[in-house]
Formats: sequence, structure tokens, C-alpha cells
Amino acid sequence: MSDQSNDAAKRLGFMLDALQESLLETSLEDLVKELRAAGVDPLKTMSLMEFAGEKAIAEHYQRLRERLTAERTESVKRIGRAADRLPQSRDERIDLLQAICKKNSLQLTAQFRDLKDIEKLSDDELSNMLQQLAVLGLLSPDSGNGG
Amino acid sequence: MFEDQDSDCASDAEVRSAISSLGNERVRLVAWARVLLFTYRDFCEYREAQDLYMEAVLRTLQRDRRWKPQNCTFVEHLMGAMRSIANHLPEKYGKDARNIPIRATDLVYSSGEDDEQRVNPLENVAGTAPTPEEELVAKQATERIEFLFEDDAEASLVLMLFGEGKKEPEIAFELGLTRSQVHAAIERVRYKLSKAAH
Repeated sequence: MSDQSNDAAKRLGFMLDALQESLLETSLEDLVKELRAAGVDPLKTMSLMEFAGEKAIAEHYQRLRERLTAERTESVKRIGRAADRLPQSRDERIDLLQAICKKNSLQLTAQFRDLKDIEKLSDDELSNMLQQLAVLGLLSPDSGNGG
Repeated sequence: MFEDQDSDCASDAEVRSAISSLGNERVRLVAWARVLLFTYRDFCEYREAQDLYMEAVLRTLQRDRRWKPQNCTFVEHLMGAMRSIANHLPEKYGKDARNIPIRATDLVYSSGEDDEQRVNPLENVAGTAPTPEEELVAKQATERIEFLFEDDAEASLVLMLFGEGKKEPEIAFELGLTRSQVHAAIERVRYKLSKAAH
């Protein structure tokens, strides 16, 4: 491709650089006069700009909320699906939880590390803990940090 | 949540604070938007200054356009973002070159008898070289700008020399003008572009 094929983009780039620099050096007062002369109502336009900025912020946080909600929903589903991997009996589940806590004590939060009365956990609490551990990849008592 | 690995990039709070603090500087952004809307008229999907501004703010918040306060002011950042957004063909037309308006499609395909052999230049951008469609946009935009100043020889020459990458002092020397005259000429260019935006 010849050099000429790159000329137009370069020329336009330089022109816009010059226009941008000129704009940054011009006083706001002169810019307002220019806009008025171009038929633009500066006050109305400023209101529209302010509204647009607020709308952008609102849109950003709306998208963020939606993303976090979707992630939360997916996380809850993953924890729910882990129930299929749990042993059937309560005794097996208690044994499993004890083994995991012992094997992975360094990785677990205080909630799990200081758990002393596993036998007193309700079925739901026991299930819930094991499901969360399953999502973390710690369900098998053989899994851990390879230590 | 925001695992931003770029520690120089402004935080959410800094960006929001900067937006709130813009005040009358929004006038400058309106003026710039009007220049861009005229320049990229046929290829820009935005028609109003506030829409281009809103998109620039949104992309800054989303970290799609990152503001580094130590490199430039927020106004300068937004001007750059608006320019990039107004100019960005692939975001408008997607990755399929057949979406590009017909005048550009003459330049789109390289040799090849059928669709499977055709090369989509939108997928083969090498380094920072402009694509054929970007060249077409730039050519049309430049011609549109230059046409506006056919009756203003001084502005026309100043614009042409700026287009060659020359700076104000060089242009003043080459044309035998004062720097103020060169400055005034580029202001006339900017004013006329803004007026022609609608």
C-alpha cells in the first residue's frame, strides 16, 4: 500500500489535533459567543449535558446492579446444584465436614475453622456448609492445597 | 468487584467527582462535539452533542476509556474519548465488513472469487495503520472540511498546513502571518465547523 493511502487519516488527525488545541485555549466566554452565533442556546445545551452526565452514571450503575444480580443468581444455582454431590446420610455428611475442616483449616474462614459442635448443626446448616465447600472445590476430603 | 490492575487509572469516585465538577467546561465539550459531529457526520451514529458526551462518560465509568489524571485533565480525556467514539467504525458496523455502507465496500474485500476466500480487513488490522474504511472516512471528512473554506484562502492554507503536521509557528513563518493570524484562522475553521454541524 502506498504512503498516499495513509495520508487522509493522518491529515485529518493533525487537523483535529489543531482544532482540539485551539478549543482548549479559547475562553469559555468566547465559546459561548461562538455557540450562540451558531444558533445554539448555551443554557439549554448545558442542561442537556448535565442531564446526559447523570443519565450515564445511572446507566452505569444499573448495568452493574444487573451484572451483580446475575452473578449472585448463578452463584446460588451453583450452590444448589452441589446438593447432588453430597452423601445421603447425616452421619456421612458430618464425617465429611469434619474431614474437610481438618484437611483445609488454613483455607477456611473462622466460621469453619472454629467449628466445634458439628454434631449440633441442623440438617440444613450441614447441607448448606457442604454445598458451599463443594462450590469452592473442597468437597472431597482429599482436596486441599497440596500440602 | 472492580479488579482494576491499572493503579494510575482514576477510581469510580474520582470519575464521578470529576463529572460533577465539570460545570461550565461542558461548553467546551459541546463545542468539540459539534466539530466531531460535522467531521464524522456520515459515519457517526450520534447526532447530538449530549449523546456523544454521554457515551464518553459511560465508557469512562466502565473503564472502556480509562482516565489517568496524571496524564491529562478530565476535559482533555473526554475530548479524546468523544473523538475516538465518533470515529470508531467497527463499533458501529460490527465485525462483518458487509455491514459497512456501500461506498466503503468497494475497498473492503481483497482478491478472492468467493466469500470464503475474501479477507475482511476489519479482522486484519495490523498495528496502528488505518483500515481502508477508516481511510475512506478520513478522506471524505477532510474533503468536507476543506470544502467549507473554499472562499477563505487564508483559513484553507492554514488548515492544509496543520494537516501536514506543522505547528503554529511554522505555519506563521511559511505563510508570512503572525501567530495571532494563524490562531484566528483556526478559530474561524472551528467556528464554521460548529455552525455547520446542524
